[in-house]
Amino acid sequence: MASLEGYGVVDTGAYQRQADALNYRFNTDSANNAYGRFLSQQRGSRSLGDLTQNFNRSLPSAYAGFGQRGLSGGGIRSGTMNRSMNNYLGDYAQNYMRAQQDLTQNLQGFDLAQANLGAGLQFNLADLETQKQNAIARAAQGLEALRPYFGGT
Amino acid sequence: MATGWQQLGAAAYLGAPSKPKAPARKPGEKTPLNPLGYAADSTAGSSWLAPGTYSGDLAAANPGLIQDARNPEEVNRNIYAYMTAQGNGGGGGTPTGTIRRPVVGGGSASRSRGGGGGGGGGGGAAAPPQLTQEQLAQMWALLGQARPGAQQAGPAFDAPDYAGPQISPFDTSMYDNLRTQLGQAVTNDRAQSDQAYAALNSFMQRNYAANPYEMQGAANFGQAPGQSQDAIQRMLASQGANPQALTRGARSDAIGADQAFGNLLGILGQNQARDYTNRQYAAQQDQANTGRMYDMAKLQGDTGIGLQQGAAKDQWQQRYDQRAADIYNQQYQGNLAEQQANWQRANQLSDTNYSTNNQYTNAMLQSVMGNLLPLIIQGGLSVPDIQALLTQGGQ
Repeated sequence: MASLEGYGVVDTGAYQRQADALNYRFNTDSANNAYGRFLSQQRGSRSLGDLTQNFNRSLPSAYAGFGQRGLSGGGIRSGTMNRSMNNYLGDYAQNYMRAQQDLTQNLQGFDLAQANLGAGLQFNLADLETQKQNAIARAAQGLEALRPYFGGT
Repeated sequence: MATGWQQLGAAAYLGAPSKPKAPARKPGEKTPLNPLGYAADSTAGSSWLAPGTYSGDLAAANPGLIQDARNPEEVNRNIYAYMTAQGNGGGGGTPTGTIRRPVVGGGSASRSRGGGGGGGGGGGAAAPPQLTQEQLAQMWALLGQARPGAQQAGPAFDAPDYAGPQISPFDTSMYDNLRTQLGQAVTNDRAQSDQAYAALNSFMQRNYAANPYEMQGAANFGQAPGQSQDAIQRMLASQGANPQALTRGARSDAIGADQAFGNLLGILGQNQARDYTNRQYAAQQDQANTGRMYDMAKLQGDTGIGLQQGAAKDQWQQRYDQRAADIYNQQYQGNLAEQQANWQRANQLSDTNYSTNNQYTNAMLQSVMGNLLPLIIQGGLSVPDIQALLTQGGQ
């Protein structure tokens, strides 16, 4: 069967199929990315919860240890205890914030991936559309049919 | 051609040349006109009176004539008398009187019959005709008027001019139709091209409605899961710790990380925006190039059509020029033949007219000298203008 390209007829169906494939891939990749973000956020939240839980559970023990050594109690102002407790609380806060930061950066990674998927889709669809419209614009059906009469080959 | 009596008169004036001997005639055969009417030797068959001859017939029918004319003068007298009697200067009829033989010489200058003194008129001969001046003038006028006119050539020969076959004008309709079709095809394709690029621009605008890197819900430390910063601050404060001092480092790290991520998104967003702008420029360039392509295709098509039309026009022009050359040659040949024929005719008529005129002049002069001059001399008349006689007439 003769091709229609020689007569200047563009096969727009092929371009449409390619566009559909791009959209399909974007959708699947976006879904995977979103699920991965969700899992990452869940795990991160769990880690943060565990940190808080462990801190809360160990905090009374830490105070009790200072009491056994006579560094805490009514009327007792111990610098050692203060310093130790600051370190303990500070470490916890730092670890917790760092955990939050790590989780945030993980989520940012997923967000960036999603943005890249969107940008890639835009890029590919625009490129595909440009190719299609250029082919349509440069189709010369009438000219090709008359070319033998003009002395062309 | 001179008539009978003119031949007689001319011959009489001219005298007798050394004439050839007359051929023997058969009995009853009339001789052709005997210019002399007499013979030096009056042998039978060659005398003025010879039966069967013109002069013999005259003599037989006109007893008044000198029956035995012996010399040119006597013959001339006979002729004049006869013509006069016929109405040329006189009444019609036959000579009734007898022509008197001239006295002097008797005309026997060279044909003497013996004995001197001429024979005298034989008994009872009539007096020679006398010519008056008036008669002479009339005769002179008649002689002049009787000059034959010049023949005219008539209207010149003019044949119809050669027109040659007709060549239809060069037909450009086919080439005009091709140019029209080419123009329509280019116009249609150009419209389709413009429509395609308009659709492309519209799609890119829809496709790039939002920059994917300009996300609103991106993760940041301020919205991290778990306890908020305020809650951590309160917790630390409740334990007697300084929350600002304890969280300053981690907080600054987190803020820096968020800024870094934001910068990355910004760079990528600008890149995406630049890509969109470049695509628009590229689409415009493509549209312009496509338009130029159509212009070049139309130019190529028009050039091809023009070349074909030029080649065909050249062939037609060659045929047209050849036809014009053929017509010119045919017309030239025709005109040449017409002019040649007319020239030949004119020359022939001129020659004929000259010959006729000369013959008439000679005959007339012969007649004048031979017939009239003796009468003029005899009657003592004045000779009219001879030049007028030579130039008069010709009608």
